[in-house]
Amino acid sequence: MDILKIENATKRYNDFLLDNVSFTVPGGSVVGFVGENGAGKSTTLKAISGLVRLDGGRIECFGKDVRTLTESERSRIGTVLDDACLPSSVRLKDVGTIMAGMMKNWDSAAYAALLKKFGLSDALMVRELSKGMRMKAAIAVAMSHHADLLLLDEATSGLDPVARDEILDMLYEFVDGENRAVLVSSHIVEDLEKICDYIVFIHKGRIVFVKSADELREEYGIISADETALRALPRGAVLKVRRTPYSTAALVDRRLCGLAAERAGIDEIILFYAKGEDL
Amino acid sequence: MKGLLIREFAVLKSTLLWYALVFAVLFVIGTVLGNEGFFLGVGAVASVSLPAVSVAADEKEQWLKFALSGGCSPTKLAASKYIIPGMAGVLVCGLTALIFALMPDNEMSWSMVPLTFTFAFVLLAVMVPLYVKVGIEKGRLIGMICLVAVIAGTVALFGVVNTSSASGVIDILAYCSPILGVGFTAGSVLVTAKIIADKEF
Repeated sequence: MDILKIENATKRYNDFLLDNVSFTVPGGSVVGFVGENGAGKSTTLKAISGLVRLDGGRIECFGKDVRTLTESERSRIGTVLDDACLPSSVRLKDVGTIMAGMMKNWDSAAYAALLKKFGLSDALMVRELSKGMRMKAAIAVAMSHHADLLLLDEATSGLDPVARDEILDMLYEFVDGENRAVLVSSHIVEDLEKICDYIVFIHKGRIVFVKSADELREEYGIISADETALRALPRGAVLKVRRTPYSTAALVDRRLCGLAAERAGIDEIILFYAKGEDL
Repeated sequence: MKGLLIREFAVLKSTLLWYALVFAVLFVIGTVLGNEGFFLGVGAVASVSLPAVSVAADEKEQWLKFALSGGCSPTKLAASKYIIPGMAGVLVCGLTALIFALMPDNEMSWSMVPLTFTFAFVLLAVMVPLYVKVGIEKGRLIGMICLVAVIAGTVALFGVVNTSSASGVIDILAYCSPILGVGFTAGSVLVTAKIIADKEF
């Protein structure tokens, strides 16, 4: 069952267009959402959270249009935005009190346990927290109201490797079973490669691909060769090229490319699409 | 709603103590001078300044974005902006009535008590949606202009109208005016809720 379904989502700004974005987040999966800065990741996540209104298309969550979700249904979505907007003039334990008064499914024990796990004292004022600590607190909040869908927008940025590793383990445990899912956007590609079942790549407001981690490993490769050799490859094999004065590197479809191509990592794929050219 | 009010109180806590001191000073001055305008002024300060502090904190912390993404309804968010300033307005009105009761020989009109209530709530009804819609900086400027215009208009009206002959009518209007204040505030909550619902982040 798809926990989240986005169909032809379109949003127009003066200088940017989110253009017919479509993908799903199946139950029991962690989906990574990648793209360069300004590609449309945050806009998409905000549209799911109801913070922006689409100009076209539809987003369904738990089988229902997100615009018609009740307060109770919306509380099944745990959201961590990139600026972790917690009330700054209170202590972390007061954040729990505030959230308990706002959310029906608030679990104070889970919140306390997560703060402890992250090494955060509940006596700390939110304004005294570093960016990383604030992000950890926001994640603790998002995971303390029995959400079935977690939306994490750059939630691990600013965290040390140990904290990131802990959170990735928690996300993995979170989706145990078919009724929960995670959609995480991140620039820290190695985190996504560790836990994501699917990767959605967005570039300049358009979805470039939605592929499983295995498909990515099998399909995308990088070769360095001169242009004559690249042009000799089967049609469609060369996806993007990056030219330097000394060589040409190409992102290729390994299934079509007869040459041995080194497997491409997600960050290399993003780089080729962001900075590469067509052959 | 409980959580929202706890958050509002946390934001306003230090400000409330400061304003309590300011109110006390203004009440003393108004009582000593026998000037009813001071009591209206206290109500105005509560209605204009307390929501400004709250909305300024919202802007700084991006609180609306956080609350809406967590499933909080725009109507509850809107209503939370009025409750503490509204309670302050009622308190000011109550203290005004107490002062009038304790000083039976003063020449101040009892109709000032409901007028204090109405003035505070009408200002609250105007300022909160203004702050939420245009932001604190522009909202304060526009609010100041509106306040000056209202005060100037009121002074001009009292200069034109023969208040002594119309005092009975004025008193009746004054005593009925809280209904207006409450009605305006209720409508204002809905307007603010719509502004919040239409916001994009």
